[in-house]
Amino acid sequence: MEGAGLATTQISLVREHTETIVPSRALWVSFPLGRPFGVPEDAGFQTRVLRAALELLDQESGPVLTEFDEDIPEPTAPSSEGWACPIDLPQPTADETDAEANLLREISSLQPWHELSRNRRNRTTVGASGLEPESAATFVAGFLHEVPGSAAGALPIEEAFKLSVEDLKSFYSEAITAQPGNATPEDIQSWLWNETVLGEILLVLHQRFRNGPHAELAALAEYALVPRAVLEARKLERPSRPRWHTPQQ
Amino acid sequence: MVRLRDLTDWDRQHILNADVPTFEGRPWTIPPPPAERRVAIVTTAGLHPRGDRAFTPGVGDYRVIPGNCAADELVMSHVSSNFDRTGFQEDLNVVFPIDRLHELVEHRDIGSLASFHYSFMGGGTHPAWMRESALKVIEFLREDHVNTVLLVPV
Repeated sequence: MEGAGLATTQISLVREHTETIVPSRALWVSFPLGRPFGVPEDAGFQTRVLRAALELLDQESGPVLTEFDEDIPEPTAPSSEGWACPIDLPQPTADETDAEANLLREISSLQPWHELSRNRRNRTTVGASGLEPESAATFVAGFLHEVPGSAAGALPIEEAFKLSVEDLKSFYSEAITAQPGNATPEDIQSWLWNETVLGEILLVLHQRFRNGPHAELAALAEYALVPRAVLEARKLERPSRPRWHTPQQ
Repeated sequence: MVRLRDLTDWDRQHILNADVPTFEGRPWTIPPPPAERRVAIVTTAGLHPRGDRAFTPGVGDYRVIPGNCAADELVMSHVSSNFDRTGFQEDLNVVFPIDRLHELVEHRDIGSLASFHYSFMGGGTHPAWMRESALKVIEFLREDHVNTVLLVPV
């Protein structure tokens, strides 16, 4: 872009990568991956990050790599016991015969909170799969019994599965963050993977896909289904190195 | 926070093992004065309008985000499960600071915003495979009279 006459400035989340790439202008921020502008619903904080990145355009020469001088504020603990999910959900169960029904009950319990989230934020990020949460749940739970031969929209089965999983995770976290309290991303992740039927089903499928005959589902389970931090906390087997997917062009 | 010393060994090794590209030369374009800057966002967050095709790892293509796309229409089909999505779910601007940029235009800190912004998906896709798409995006940006680009990872 710079070579084509477009001035660029960027956010850097991994300073070590930026030091190798050496872009023209970069602002390194200390925020978690997934949060390049820091704090949700804090326009002032986001604007300070944005202004700092844009101010690099006024430098007379480069390359420039500077550091944003604020960290994300520490969350206020809701209580001495920490955050706890205030919704009474069905107990996660490994009983696969009832998994779909339990998952649908769980979604039903979360539905009012998801509606509150949508009304409050005027948006939802659910919908990349093209399925409603209940349909996505039925589709995902079906993998406990057999891998479907095809998926809606003519997507490869592993892509349809992944999109459905992410839609369900989005539905859950949007619902739970509509609750009062100060749940951190770590709280939400821990809740989803340790206390929900959805998390239980995905962990069962993770192990099954890894050891199963479907190569693309095995790759999905290996690299993109369960967060590394969750696998590490559960002492589950994990991949040793990053993997690039095979180019399809 | 993304300080390597704060990550687990596994996450740290994952990041350090990534095949990060290097480039010959250090091109440097001087932008126009702030009031004349027309700014586009190019993100690698795998964002796209809800009805658009989801991203596929290994392809390296891009999606167009119209400047007037409502926040409720943007979804994310990034392949990675190893970054926090809750910030994006709570507030689009944590990943795609479109409202903040509009405010800077209103305050006359920058001139205008592009008619279109662009999204790539950085997971499972080597950056070199995005080269052809990047060249197309550059053409579109120039056609849109964009002179300044904000590059945003996720």
